Amino acid sequence: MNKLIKNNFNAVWVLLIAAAITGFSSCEKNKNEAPAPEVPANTPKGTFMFHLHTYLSDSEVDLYNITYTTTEGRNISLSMAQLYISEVQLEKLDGSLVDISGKKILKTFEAETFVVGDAPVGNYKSIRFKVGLNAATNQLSPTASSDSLILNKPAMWFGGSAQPDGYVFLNLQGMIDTSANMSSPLVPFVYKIGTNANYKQVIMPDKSLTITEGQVGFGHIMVDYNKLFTGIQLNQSTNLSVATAADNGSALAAAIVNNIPSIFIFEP
Amino acid sequence: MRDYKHISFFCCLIFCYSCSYDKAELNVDCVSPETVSFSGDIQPVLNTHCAVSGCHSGSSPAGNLNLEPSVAYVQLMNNSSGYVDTITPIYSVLHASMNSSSDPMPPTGKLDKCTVDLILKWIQQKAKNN
Repeated sequence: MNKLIKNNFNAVWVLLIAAAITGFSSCEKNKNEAPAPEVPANTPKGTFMFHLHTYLSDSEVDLYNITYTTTEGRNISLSMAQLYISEVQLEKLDGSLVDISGKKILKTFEAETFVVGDAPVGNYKSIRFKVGLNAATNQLSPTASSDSLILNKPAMWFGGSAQPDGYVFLNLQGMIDTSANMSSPLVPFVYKIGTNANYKQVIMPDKSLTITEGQVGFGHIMVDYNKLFTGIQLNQSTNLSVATAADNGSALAAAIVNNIPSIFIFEP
Repeated sequence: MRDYKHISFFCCLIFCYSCSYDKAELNVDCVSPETVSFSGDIQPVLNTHCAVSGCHSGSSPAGNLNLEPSVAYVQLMNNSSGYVDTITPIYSVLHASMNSSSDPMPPTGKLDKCTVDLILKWIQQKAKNN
């Protein structure tokens, strides 16, 4: 009798263990949530794209030369808002980085979606990129490279030609109320940011992104140009213009450049 | 012997429930209209899942995108927005957002494959206001 009970007891344990093993092993797909392993060269790929919106504070800018009021009550209108993005990378769950492509993007007011390139299938936790162009590209003639489609844009030159000063990395122009009580007429401002020294890294906060084979994964980002003015004394007229390559060595330019990462915000 | 029956039943339960998330990935035969209608097929999806209170409706819609019937088509077809790309339909933000694995729209849960495919088919058919 005791032997029979003991045999039954053993059989119960064998079945329980078998069930547990079956249950765990059948959930193999959940392993994707663990840190991504090194990606082999022939790994399947999807497409990574940007969806970039132009904002002033909490208002999406639908038109140039329309006055928008920021959340703090300042009136601003834009007549030019565009910037270069390059060296896009996706950060894997283990912190390693994947270069998406050597492609450069000119984010204009008129366009919102941009194909960045092929990305290995997998789970990522963040996006990195730079605002501007690397030193090699920054010295190219606008028509002499495969990037001529975005470089041959006079609005992104400091003068009548792109060289010798290089390209404007970020061009923001418009009118702004500079008064402390934010009740005065708007005055013009020009911020043309460029030069190799002002090539700025942007590291977005963590937000999960999955690239699926043959599918498109988007980075949905708002570009809030109002944040470029953070910490700048607008009631000083000298703080309203960065127009030349020489101006880009100023303390004002440095302050604007330091504000660049904060203008990129993931869409909620 | 009675214990064996209980244990066997228990094992079956574990096996079945351990893969419940795979159910959404089953291949399903979708029956969609030959010609997808915006008003008849797409707008009802938007009404149910997108143009709801606190999301893509009202005076301050999420993402500045209002998908209520009176404005949805115009907003989606805004050339610069990228929500609909009839040249490369899978680049459409509308479809990609619904098809996203990590951050799908609507936030309450990814729509079934047939609905997402229906959206893509409408875009592939040049996103007509029909």
